[in-house]
Amino acid sequence: MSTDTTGATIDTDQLAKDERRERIKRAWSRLSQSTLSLVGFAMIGLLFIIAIFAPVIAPYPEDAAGAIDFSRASQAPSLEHPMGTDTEGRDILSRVIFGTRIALLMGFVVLSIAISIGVTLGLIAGYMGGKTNAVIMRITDIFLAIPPTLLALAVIAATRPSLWYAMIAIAASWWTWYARLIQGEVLSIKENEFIEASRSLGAGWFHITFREILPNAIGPITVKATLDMGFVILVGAGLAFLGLGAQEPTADWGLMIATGRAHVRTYWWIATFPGLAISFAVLGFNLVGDGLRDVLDVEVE
Amino acid sequence: MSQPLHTDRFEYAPGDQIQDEIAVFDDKDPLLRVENLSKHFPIYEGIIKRQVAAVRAVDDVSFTVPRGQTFGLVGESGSGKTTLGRSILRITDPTHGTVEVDGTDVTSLSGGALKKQRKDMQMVFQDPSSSLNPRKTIKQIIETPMKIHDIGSAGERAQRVEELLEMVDLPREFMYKYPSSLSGGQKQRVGIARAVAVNPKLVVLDEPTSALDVSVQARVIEILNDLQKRFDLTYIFISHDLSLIKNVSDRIGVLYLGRFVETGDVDSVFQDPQHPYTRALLSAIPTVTDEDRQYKPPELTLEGEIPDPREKPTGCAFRSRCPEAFEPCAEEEPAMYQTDSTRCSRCYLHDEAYQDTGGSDDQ
Repeated sequence: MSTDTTGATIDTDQLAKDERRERIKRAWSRLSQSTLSLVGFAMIGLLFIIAIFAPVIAPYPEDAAGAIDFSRASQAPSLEHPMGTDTEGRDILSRVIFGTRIALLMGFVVLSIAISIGVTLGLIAGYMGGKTNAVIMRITDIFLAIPPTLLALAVIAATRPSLWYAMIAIAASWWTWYARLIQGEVLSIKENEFIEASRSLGAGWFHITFREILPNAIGPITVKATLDMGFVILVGAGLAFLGLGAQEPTADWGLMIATGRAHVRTYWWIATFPGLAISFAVLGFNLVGDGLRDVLDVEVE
Repeated sequence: MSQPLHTDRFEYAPGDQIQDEIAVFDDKDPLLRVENLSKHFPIYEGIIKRQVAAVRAVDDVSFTVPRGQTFGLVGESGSGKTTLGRSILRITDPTHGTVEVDGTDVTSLSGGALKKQRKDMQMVFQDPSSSLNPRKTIKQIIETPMKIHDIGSAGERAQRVEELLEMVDLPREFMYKYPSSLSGGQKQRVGIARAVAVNPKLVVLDEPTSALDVSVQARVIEILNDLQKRFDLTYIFISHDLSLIKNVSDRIGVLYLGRFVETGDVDSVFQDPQHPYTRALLSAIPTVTDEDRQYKPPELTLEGEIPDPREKPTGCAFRSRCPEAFEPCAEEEPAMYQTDSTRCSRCYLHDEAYQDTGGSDDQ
């Protein structure tokens, strides 16, 4: 990216582009060998499109916001309402579509928090070693010993049920997995001579951990994060089902199952379609995660 | 790398026991001056982790290297040569002793001053596949030292990378490649480019060619030679390959269990090794040509392995494998003896007191 000599600029930039294009091509050719991961990519792609264009796609967008119309309550699936309506007369298809937004938001927020905390602590613990490592990893173990749902229950009991508290509660236990994963990675990465090389060049701990070690741990983090997207959505739906997450009238899949639960024998469609949406999302992210694991050639527990 | 031998030696008498190894070579204003350098690794035992002993990986080593010359460090694996190299560069902190690079005492530095000093002393590592970060492009790798020491703008650094690639004879198309797509020899050249990127004065080469095919070794050595001439670099060349050491060094030091057993100008040591260990090492070199053979001392095979450094023999450390060992060797470690104007050897055979009792000090 030299800027001074115009001739060289174009040339070097071209080199960089060629090289990048070559690598993307290679990664794609490896990925495309696995049909299942391509299916996964298609599923996730569909989810994102639905989430982004929800107001356009949904036939009754106002129903997602909670417009109630008892005159069309609990109708079976029909052409007018392909997934039927719930007990308040809201179009389930519209709510499932808007629920995609909540689900993806949940996954991204929780994992962003979990990865920031976990990766930072894991890097520090693994790199510093000794007492620092022992203290950080024991704290991690303590958090790991508490099931996420239980921790979430405690957090929400201390505050009040809401989508945001649910996300914070899940993240508060989820980071431990990343701390452990990264700490293990760092232990093996830091044995490489390039770490010693950068130390001998005069690099400080920040440069070594974030610029030398972290890029080598991106693979496992990416794979685990992709696999975790599905699980976080599942746990989030679980909390909402228990009434600890999103509250009415938010269009949340877990919440929709909760309201449909009482009517499963009579109005089966109320709980079934949001349930299928959850399965779809979890399956999609898992397929992609498995595909990435093969492409990036990493082990995640 | 062959420079004329030093002519202005100070007076000596053969067989003199010497206290100060550095004085023998009497270098005026050496670039590197290592004095009594030791690196001991503590051994802990028991549940309370009490220190019971220490492995003396490097033990009281002294030498100097004149500017622009190459000092060869020879020894078997486990002799402490890599630890010595790392202690000099403060990659590990030495236990005792001082290291002066161009007049600066490196051992007393810390923090920012040490970081600044590191610009002057660089290392080329043994295994090029492990010493380059696989997730960085060649350009990123070579410009890392410039970034760390905050040298130049992005444009200037890129230009410098191109220059450096040219110096190590790599095409600039390599800038955006990753180490995995390079061969071993190419990777090592990247390692060399990184080491000279910030214009160091001293470069420690830790077996820079031992991981490479013989066919590419010669090219790497050639590049190192060119760079040395061009930038007046001072090298410490660590290797167990004696024929290689002979070709690249001006002066060598033979390490055994962390101690120098013989130091001297490379030609005199190779032509007429003084210490039994050096003789054994030289006699073990496979030879092809007659020219090689003339350096080869009579067959002398060493028995056994280098001892566990935690259980060094008492007296002379080499005693357990030395074909010439006699009584005094078990009692106390011999001092360094100056055997002629260019060499020192740590062996009782050179002591006049034992000239008659000792084995065959025929030299």
